[in-house]
Amino acid sequence: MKTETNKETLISPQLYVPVLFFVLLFLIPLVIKNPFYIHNMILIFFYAALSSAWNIIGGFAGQISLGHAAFFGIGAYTSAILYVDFGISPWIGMLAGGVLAMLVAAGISYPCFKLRGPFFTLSTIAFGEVVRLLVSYFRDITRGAVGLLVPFKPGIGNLMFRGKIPYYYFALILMILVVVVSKKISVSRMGFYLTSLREDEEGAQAIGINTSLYKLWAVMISAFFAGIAGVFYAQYILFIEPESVFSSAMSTQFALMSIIGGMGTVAGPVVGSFILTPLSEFLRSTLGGSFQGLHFAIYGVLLIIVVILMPQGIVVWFKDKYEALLERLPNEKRREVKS
Amino acid sequence: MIEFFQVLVSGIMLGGIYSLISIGLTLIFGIMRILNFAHGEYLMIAMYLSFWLFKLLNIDPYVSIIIVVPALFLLGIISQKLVIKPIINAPPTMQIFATVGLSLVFQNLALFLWKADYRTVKTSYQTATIHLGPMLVSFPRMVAFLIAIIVSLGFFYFLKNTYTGKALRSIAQNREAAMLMGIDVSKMYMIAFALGTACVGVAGALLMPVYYVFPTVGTYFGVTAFVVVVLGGMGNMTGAFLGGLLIGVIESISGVYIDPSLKEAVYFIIFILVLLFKPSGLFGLRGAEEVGLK
Amino acid sequence: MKKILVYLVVFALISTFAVGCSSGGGGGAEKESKPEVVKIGVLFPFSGSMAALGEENFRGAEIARLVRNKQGGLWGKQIEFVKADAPDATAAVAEADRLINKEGMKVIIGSYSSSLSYAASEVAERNGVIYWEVGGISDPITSRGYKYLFRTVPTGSSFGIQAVKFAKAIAPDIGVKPEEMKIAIVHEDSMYGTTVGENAKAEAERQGLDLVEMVAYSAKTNDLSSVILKLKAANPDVLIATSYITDTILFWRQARELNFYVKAAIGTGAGYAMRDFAEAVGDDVNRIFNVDFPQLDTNPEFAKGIDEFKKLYEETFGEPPKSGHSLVAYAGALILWDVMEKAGSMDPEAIRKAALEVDIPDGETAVGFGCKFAGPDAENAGQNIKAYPLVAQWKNQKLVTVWPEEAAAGEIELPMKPWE
Repeated sequence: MKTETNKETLISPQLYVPVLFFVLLFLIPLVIKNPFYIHNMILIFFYAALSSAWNIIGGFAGQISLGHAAFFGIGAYTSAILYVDFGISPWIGMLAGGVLAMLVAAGISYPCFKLRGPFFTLSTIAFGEVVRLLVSYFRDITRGAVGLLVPFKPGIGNLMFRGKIPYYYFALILMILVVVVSKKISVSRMGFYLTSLREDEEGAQAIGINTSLYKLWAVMISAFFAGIAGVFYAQYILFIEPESVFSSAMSTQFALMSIIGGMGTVAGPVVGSFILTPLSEFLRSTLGGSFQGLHFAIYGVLLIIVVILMPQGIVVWFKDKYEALLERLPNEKRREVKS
Repeated sequence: MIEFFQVLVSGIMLGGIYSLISIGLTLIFGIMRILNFAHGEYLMIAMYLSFWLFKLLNIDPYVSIIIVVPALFLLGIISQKLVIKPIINAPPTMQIFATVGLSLVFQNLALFLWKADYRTVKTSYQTATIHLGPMLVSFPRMVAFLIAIIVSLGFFYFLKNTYTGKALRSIAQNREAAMLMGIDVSKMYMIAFALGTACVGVAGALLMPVYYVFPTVGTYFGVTAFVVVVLGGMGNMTGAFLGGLLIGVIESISGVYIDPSLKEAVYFIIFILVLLFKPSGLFGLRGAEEVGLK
Repeated sequence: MKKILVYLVVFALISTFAVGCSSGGGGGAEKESKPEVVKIGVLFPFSGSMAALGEENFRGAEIARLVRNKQGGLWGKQIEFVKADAPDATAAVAEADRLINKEGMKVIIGSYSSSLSYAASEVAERNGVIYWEVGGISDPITSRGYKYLFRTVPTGSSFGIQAVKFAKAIAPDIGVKPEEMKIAIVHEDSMYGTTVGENAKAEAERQGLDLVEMVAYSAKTNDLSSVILKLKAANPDVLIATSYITDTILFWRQARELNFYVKAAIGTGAGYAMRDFAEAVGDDVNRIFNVDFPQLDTNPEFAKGIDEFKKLYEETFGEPPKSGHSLVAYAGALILWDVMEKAGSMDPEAIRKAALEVDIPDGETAVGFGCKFAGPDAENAGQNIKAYPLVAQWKNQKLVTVWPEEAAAGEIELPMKPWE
């Protein structure tokens, strides 16, 4: 999104259109009550949040991680273990999970930052696998591949609810939070540094940007939110196992939504999730039984087409229309400028 | 002590299979600078091909090589034309995702066409063993090992002594200069990619008597192949061969003496360490590091 | 051209989004209901890596449905299934939600895989809907004190325990004293393998057997030589093994390659039960035991109606059953029909009450063992406490039930033949 000025007033369409959109999302449960649709919406927000979090390091900084499920899984496992074994509320677990994911991310990413492009990606895959294998191995703590069951005791303190509406709002708020943070980063100095190091790392270093430091910040923020999303997953599904939360398919999923939606933009991952999540749920429920695998093949074809024809993602296609729409909407500032 | 040597021999035989799979990958990377995340899927396709030839036409997996390899070569050309060529000058991120997309398509088409069932062939020789003194070696693994050596030597000769080989090497060293010298880079890329997939075709056919095929079989070997290729030095054939053996031995030894469920973790950690401290690979040539880091 | 393609893609995406939102998930459902049918949800992994046995498990329930409908159905109405595909735990939650909240199901039959069962039964319990488990064996499924969950099949721990008991029983056949018998346990390290392995270990200790080695490995591995060399060094008399199909095949091929010999090998379900295993290793499969759900050749005197089931299966699906998974689901679903008939309505409370009153003696079902569910206050609430696994042996590449005696259809043959 283009912003002519840094400060946006509430009446500028750049701000009120997204706000209206989010407000609309807040109102949906008043109309749609069926838990099945609500569940799909929850998944959309959930993946949008994760993909946006991935986008901070993968999109803004251009450091493609295909091991992000590690941070997601660490969040999920931390809070679940704290809750199941020590009775600590998942709210605290959420913070612990997010912070631990952040620390692990910092610890493993920092040395890897000297690797460029595909080599960084390879190292993230390897780290993702190591984390998964270790979690499976240390059975005494994690229960290993058996998986961890979170006993259902509804209550706000336990972050567990009988209905889906509270989960809906939790996921929605999480998504908005990540989007807002992404937006803040993208218009901040840090965002500028990240973009410049993505385009030309040597160049960025030459003009005095501490590229490692900013990459580190980016990966930490990214991992923190991935960890929190992991906690949400554990409390929502109530059963986690290494094969599902640490799977490389999960890692690919985060990146995929971002890249199809539009990598390196704030809206891209959200658009990606709003399109791909219902698409995959729909394809699975219609094709699943009779044509197994076909929906993922369609996914793959889409990915290739997007990469070849629209390397900036679907969001580019919406961008002009969106900006044209913004132009037509009442805008306080433009009037000022004109007068 | 005999036990230790048995572990070692088992590891080397396993490593032979890894080497064979990795040679194609390292060739593609060395020349095109593309990390082919769909490499494992080409292996899967080769295995299915070999399986169906056996099942439907009763062709022995070893004989099937003469069909599987040209088929994979062709598939390589097609994929290169449709998917790789348009992104050859794109940023590395885009290249990664294009090949990830390719792997998703292959994997799930296989699932769609052939279901998640595990398919095996039954041959008379597949559980035959050879006695090396007190040690036991499986016959089909021995064959795979020997062919890995032949293939690496073959490639070595090909790159050193033929026009195409020299042209490929010159592109690997300097794309622009090669272009200026009148080498058809685009055609060479096609050849390199197709050779890489043909190579994995050999591996697929040789693997069929020892292993089984299912749609996601490629992911298990694909990731290992990356480890091997980095270990051996990107683009380095001999390195890939030795790297494969090394990973096989590491896997075997850590499985017996540490814990079978940690053996993958051990070689992934070694992989990360190599990436961090010796990115040119253990057997990397001087100057390869620059290539590897860019 | 390029532009047209782009437009096409975007259009396709938007339209699927719209469709996905409006009708998402409707596809698996059966046709609109006629008034005179009883609708029951069925949730299995029809796609994904667990699809093969998930389908087999489902087929048992399907035959039970056909049988009942031929006899007049439930309360004079025909039974209809509403199918849901759950390839993983997240999908299981979504699909259970769909069945309950969109399709209005009051009873769900599931689900082959233990992790799916875990996740889906949670949703059912929350909504007060009956979850009838006919496939998943993991113990913790019935350790949560759920009121609406019932499981007709034996638990994973009973597989491990049965394997050890059987090992002790065959000590004379392989010429060792039980107290001197050396046992090794090898298992893949997911929920299933770990449950069975740990329980076998505990039972071996209780029985005072000599456990010489215990190895866990990931079923995803592509080489088991290190596992086999470890076992070979321990030199056990009896091996208790738990694995999926891939690693079972790999294990026995490499065992032969590395000349690893045990006098008796006892597998515990999954890979050891499958025809694929026999096809892959040929005659090497003979004399290997399998502790498992009742197999298709269980003595018909003991498992009443088993022959009828096999006939129906072949008629319906045009091939013989692949494994005992269909049989147990068949027997389990038949019990459900009786329970519902007695309950007199679709009311989950009434069904629950009727289920708790069930008491079928051994030898009255198609699987042989009887049925009585543990009450809601028991630590294994909802578990069929009469269920137990049987031991079969591969003979001429076919599984033949050999133990316990009342269920046996053949003699135990021991020891294993050494590799040539």
